Amino acid sequence: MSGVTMSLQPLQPDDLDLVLAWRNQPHVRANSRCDAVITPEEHRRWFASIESDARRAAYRVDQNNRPVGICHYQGLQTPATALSYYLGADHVWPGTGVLLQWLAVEQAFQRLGVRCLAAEVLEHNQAPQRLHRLFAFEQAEPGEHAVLRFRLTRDRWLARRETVWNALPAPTRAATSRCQLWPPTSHR
Amino acid sequence: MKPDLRTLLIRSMTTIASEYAQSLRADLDDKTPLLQSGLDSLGFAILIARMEEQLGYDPFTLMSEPVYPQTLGELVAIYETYHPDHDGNHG
Repeated sequence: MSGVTMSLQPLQPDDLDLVLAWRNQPHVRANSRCDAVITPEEHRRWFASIESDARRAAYRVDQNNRPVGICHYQGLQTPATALSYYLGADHVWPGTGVLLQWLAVEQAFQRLGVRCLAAEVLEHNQAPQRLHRLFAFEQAEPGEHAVLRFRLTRDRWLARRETVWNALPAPTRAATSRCQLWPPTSHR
Repeated sequence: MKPDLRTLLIRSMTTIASEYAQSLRADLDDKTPLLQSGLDSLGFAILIARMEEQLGYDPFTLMSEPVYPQTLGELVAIYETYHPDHDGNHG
């Protein structure tokens, strides 16, 4: 017997071809602020900008040791850190998006020292809006046309974490114990 | 006796979609990718929980090697394979 496992690994150059294919999938582009096809050169520049900026971090999300998605933070060590993530693989445990959200929020507050997590969602993209609300994000002031903004402070997460966990469907709740942050053990 | 798992899954998906204001595709069939079914990730997480409540098993915790579905047909097949009355699952 087993169960779904999820883990984060720092994004590596070896991951870039796979991630470019994911970023250019129609369903990923449709939910991105820029929906143009990304060229390999643009993709390499994107990765180089992450590697050279201490305020950014990107992780490959693995499910049962198989890459399934990406989690990206921008504006670390600033008052508000932007979070974005997506699933690229399609053979995934049903409910993976919920686990990815759990992993992304926990990584931010338990490992990265984020004070406030900020997320932008296109108005038509309902799934992450439901997840953000489930995870106690507050809706912030409206963004530009058709963009909704959400925010979650560290204090609010710590106060609501148990309530959020209890609201998750039982199999998802059980699976959170098999979600591994990066680095796997906190050294703090 | 093994229930009609396809019907049970689609009925549960329909109920969850209705409860959570999601728009399930009307033309669902075995080839429908789950990501395009109209049910989102939270909906599927709830589906797996409710199926376990109704059937008494969660196939995804019974697998020795994880096999995850892309389509509705694959999801049905997983539930059928791990049903207690399925050939090979006796004793």
